[in-house]
Amino acid sequence: MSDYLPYLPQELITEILLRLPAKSVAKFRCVSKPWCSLLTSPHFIKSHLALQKSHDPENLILVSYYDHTLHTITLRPPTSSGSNQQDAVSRQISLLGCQEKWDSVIGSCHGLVLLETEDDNKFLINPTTLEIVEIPRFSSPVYPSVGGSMHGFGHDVLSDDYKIVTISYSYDFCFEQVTLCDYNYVDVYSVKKGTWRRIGNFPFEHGVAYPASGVFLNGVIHWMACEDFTECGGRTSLIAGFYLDHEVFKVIPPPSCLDKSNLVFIKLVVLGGCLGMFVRCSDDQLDVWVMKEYGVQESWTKFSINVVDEVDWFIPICLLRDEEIVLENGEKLITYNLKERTSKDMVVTDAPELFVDGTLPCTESLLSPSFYNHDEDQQIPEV
Amino acid sequence: MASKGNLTLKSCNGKEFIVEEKVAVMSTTIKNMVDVDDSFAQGVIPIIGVDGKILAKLIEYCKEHAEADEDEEVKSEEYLKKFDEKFVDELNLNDLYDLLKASNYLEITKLLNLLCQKVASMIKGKKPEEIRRIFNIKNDFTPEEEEEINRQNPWAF
Repeated sequence: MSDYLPYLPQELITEILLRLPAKSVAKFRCVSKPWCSLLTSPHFIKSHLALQKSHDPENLILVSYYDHTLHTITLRPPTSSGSNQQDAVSRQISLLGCQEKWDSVIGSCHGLVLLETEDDNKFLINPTTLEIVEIPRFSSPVYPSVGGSMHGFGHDVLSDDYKIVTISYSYDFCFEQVTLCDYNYVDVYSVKKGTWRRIGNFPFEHGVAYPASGVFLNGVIHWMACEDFTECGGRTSLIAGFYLDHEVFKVIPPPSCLDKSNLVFIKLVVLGGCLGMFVRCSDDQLDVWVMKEYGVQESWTKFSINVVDEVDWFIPICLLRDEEIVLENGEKLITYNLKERTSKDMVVTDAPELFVDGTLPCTESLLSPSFYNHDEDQQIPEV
Repeated sequence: MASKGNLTLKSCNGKEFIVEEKVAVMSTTIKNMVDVDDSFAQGVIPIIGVDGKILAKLIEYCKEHAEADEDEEVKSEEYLKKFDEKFVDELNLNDLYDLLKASNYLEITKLLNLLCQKVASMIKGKKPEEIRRIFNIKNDFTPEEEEEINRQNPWAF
């Protein structure tokens, strides 16, 4: 059968091309000059991204524990059942001219991924197009020995900008009084402008069991944090949300029935387009809470993952097809089927033996990490 | 004449179809005609450039989706997904092409989306020269220019 399509109006051809995978779009740029200018235009790339934004991620991105290389795992949609079926394929990413030793994946948004190296340098990459841009450092008052930082990455719709947010904290020891004074700073990097800006202090305590990278959803980066009980000196946990548009922090209400003073061992995660968090109840049970309607406290819904001897130290990464949660424990990936309440190991070809905490889902897009940087010789500003 | 709540659609080769209004107004174009001019709702709506075979296909699709919008219990999301898959899989290339143009003209967004997705999945693995043949496009690049463009996207090959 011939596959020749007679004349189609340009608007329909554009609609078809918008639905191609990123790779095919790039491959078809050499078809003709008009196609090339269409397929490289910022407008097309943005519309293409908008159509890719299904909740199911296409890939996971992770750092290998032993050699600090970067890998993507392509998640495959289900096909007809076969015994030798592989669920996913892992491949190492080689960024041109880059010899960095990766330490962790900080954030992932619209196909752009923020990474940190062992030397605390940050890079913004597109793992699909293999483009890479180094993020300048800002001058920091933090002494590494007595402080730390948490980062987040996301998209601000208002200014159509991608932003990196760093919460730095340091302790000023006052030995005579035996108390610690905390200094917190919040710095925001605009990918569009290529500059850092200090916007003020973190209004909460960073003190959580595991400082973790922020989780981006709905224009807001979320971190677990806590607040002091002034009367008794205790602390209460909370979800701090940083709104990228107005650059302010707000508290996201947690499930009302949870004991807030005991919210430890909790990590935030995005599951199927909803904010989720999980509580380890026992060695074989994880409680996963999902805020079905963003910002609505009553919409938190709980489900438990029970797998005897299996669930220990597994961390949810994402939701697939509304019914399977992908979890990892640094050694392997498993999927847990919410309907059947069963788990199974994912068969991942060529996966690294061990991987670093913080595997994240990522989509495939054509966005360039240097999309806005027209000025090649930008100065790194002092803050 | 169609009874109340029904509309009569007439294909370009004279075939008439009596369909429920909720099915017909899945098409934004028809909805606008009916909203603006009441006489369309009473009489026959001519569907220009769409023959009986294609119009029947369009109605089949719209009927399923209109019923699903009304009653999610009977026609679940899963059911619709299966229906959509089967619907596009059974189309030959000519029908796919005619349906694309018809759903574009009649502004049946969901169907247009589905059909564009189908064509995209058909062509995504093709070589650039096959794409030129399929869409009847002349290559206006010199071999050097073409090579240069491909050099800029080495990850795509």
